[in-house]
Amino acid sequence: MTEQERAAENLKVIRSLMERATVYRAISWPTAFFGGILAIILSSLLYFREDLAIGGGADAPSLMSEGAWIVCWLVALVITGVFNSVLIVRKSKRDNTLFFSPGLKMALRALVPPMLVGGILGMGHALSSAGTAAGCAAIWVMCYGLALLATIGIAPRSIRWLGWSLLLAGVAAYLYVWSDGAHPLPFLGSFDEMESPMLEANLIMGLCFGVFHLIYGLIVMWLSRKAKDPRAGTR
Amino acid sequence: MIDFSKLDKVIHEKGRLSIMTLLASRKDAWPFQDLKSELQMSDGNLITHLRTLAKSGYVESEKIEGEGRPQTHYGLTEAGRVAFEGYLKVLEEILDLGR
Repeated sequence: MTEQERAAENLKVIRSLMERATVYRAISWPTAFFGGILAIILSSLLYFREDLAIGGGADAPSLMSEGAWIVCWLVALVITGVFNSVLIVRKSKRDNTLFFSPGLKMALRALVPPMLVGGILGMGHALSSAGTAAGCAAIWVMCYGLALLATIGIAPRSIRWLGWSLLLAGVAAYLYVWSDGAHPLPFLGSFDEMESPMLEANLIMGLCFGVFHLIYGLIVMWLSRKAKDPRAGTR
Repeated sequence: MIDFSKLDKVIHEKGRLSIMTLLASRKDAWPFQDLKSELQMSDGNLITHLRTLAKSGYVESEKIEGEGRPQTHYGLTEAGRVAFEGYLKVLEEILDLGR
């Protein structure tokens, strides 16, 4: 082996080890907390608004359109994204590192395609006809779960658990939404439907994007505090 | 003309290079068990390489006592970081020579 070949071989070793050793948490616990609480508040507001509209009465609001519902959730996504960016900027300044760190770039490369496809598919589904918001919510949850699982090579174990939980919850939600008298599920049959698909959609969003993120945030916060305790030992 | 003798002989060995790379990849120190599982090395092999690197002043260790078994954490010293960066530079020069 020539010295050049050995140098190339050693650089390959360095590169592959550096990539393997990169651990990037795409969702920090403060972002998960913030996004989770925002999702719970928004889904509760939209749920009770829809419930009031269904109940009728002189002061009842009108039923929400799928378009307006999508806009509400896109705004929530943007607010959470801005919050997360502020945290990343603060961390990069504190650690004197780049905003677009190699970890962030690798995470974005994994996250963006499934989220983009899921976002477009879900919106297309919801806007195609009335009463399809719940299907859109289930698609969003599934694709978000897939996006998190796409970061598996650089993600800590908690992100994998969140990804799998969301993917399975999304699949269950989609089957629930899809099944009706005409499409019973094998062994399970069909489920009782709520009064409006919009109620189901808000329930799916609140549970998956709200409660799941809150639980994840609590666990990661507890783990990171434990790791900072020198007596607790490992990273 | 590249002076191949500039290559740090302590680092220019696959096992020790792998250890140095992992230690350089993060700011935090690495627990012995994490290094072992990441590099798939035996305890004896890993400890021998770590001792060689420590002898050259490239690696420092700290024993952390906790509720469970005590753990030894390893990190790069400033001299180790400089040596690793210097080694990378020489590798790049060698590869440029080959083009």
